[in-house]
Amino acid sequence: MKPPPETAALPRRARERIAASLDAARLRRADREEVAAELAAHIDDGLECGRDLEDILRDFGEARETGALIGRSVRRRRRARFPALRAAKTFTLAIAVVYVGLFARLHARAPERQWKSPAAAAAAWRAAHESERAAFETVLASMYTEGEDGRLTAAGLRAFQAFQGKNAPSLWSIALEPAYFPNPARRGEARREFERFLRLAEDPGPAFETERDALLADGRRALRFVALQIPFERLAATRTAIRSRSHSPSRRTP
Amino acid sequence: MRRSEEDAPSADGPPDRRVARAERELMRGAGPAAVLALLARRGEMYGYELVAALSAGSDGALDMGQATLYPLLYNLEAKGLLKATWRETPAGRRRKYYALTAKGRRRLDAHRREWRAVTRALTRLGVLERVPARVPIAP
Repeated sequence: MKPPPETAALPRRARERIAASLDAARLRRADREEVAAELAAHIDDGLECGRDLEDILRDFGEARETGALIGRSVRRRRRARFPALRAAKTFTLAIAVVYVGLFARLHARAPERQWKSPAAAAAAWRAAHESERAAFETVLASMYTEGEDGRLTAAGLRAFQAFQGKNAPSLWSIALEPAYFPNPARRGEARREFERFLRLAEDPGPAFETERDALLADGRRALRFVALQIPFERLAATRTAIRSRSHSPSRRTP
Repeated sequence: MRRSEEDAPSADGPPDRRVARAERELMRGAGPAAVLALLARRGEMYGYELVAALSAGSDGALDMGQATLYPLLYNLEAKGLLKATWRETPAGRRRKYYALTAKGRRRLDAHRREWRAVTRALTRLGVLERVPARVPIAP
């Protein structure tokens, strides 16, 4: 590397010696310039005191080792000067690692049932409405991998979006999915939660609506049990229909 | 502490490990305490001035070259024991001056306690001769 400009006024031998040490130090430009200026000032001070240049340069020691020592200490000083920057870098790296892990987990496996197209998925969903439970099982099978411990998958989220009528999610929303679904409920948990809402739905009081609204208002829980958003609509509609039937004048007892 | 060809490590382990060991030795010896003590007494000093004062004040026992002094100063700065300021000399040249921080003063007190304990122990063991309670120090 070229001798630093800070050493321009020094004799050639001194410039080369500083450059050799700094090359071995492997510093950032700003640090390199600062150290070069300080070493140049040191040599100037020695010469001003009447010392021989060769004598001063002898104190530099072996260029590679001197450079390595200077490099380590300057880097340590830089880290100490900018602790927040270092902490931010570590934090960002940790977040990136966790994020990649979540992304991989979401995309690693396929759901139990895969739809050829969103339309086919929606059609299958409509056809599967014999009962709420059977319908929800279809939802679960479309979103989760097999078994009680089955995991929510990215392909499952596509099916969910198809159920919701959204057929073309943006790349951006796909990239953000691991952030929104860091810890989704397992298949068995989702089923148990659904069963609880089924029981609430049978109750004529407002317990179902209260619980549902509480779950949807709690963003983290709503995403954890994202699959419930589909039966919620149906259950609410069924409840409304049953209520209106039970309150209609023709059904009223005289 | 000046490096000579005789004690320059060459075939003594891989270069990185050698440098790490040299750095540890640098920070463990009397150098850091001596630098802190000089700065405590003089207030503010630049690199060459420190080298000259260390050499003169120790009869050459603490001779330091740039290879030793600057890594030592940067390490002390990284630990928050020193603060550095660039200033212009009357001749128009730029120089970096080092001064002690409050943390540096506390560390110097700790060094003094440690060195007193070591000196007492070495005296009791007969390694050092007994010295008068107060040794006059040149200003």
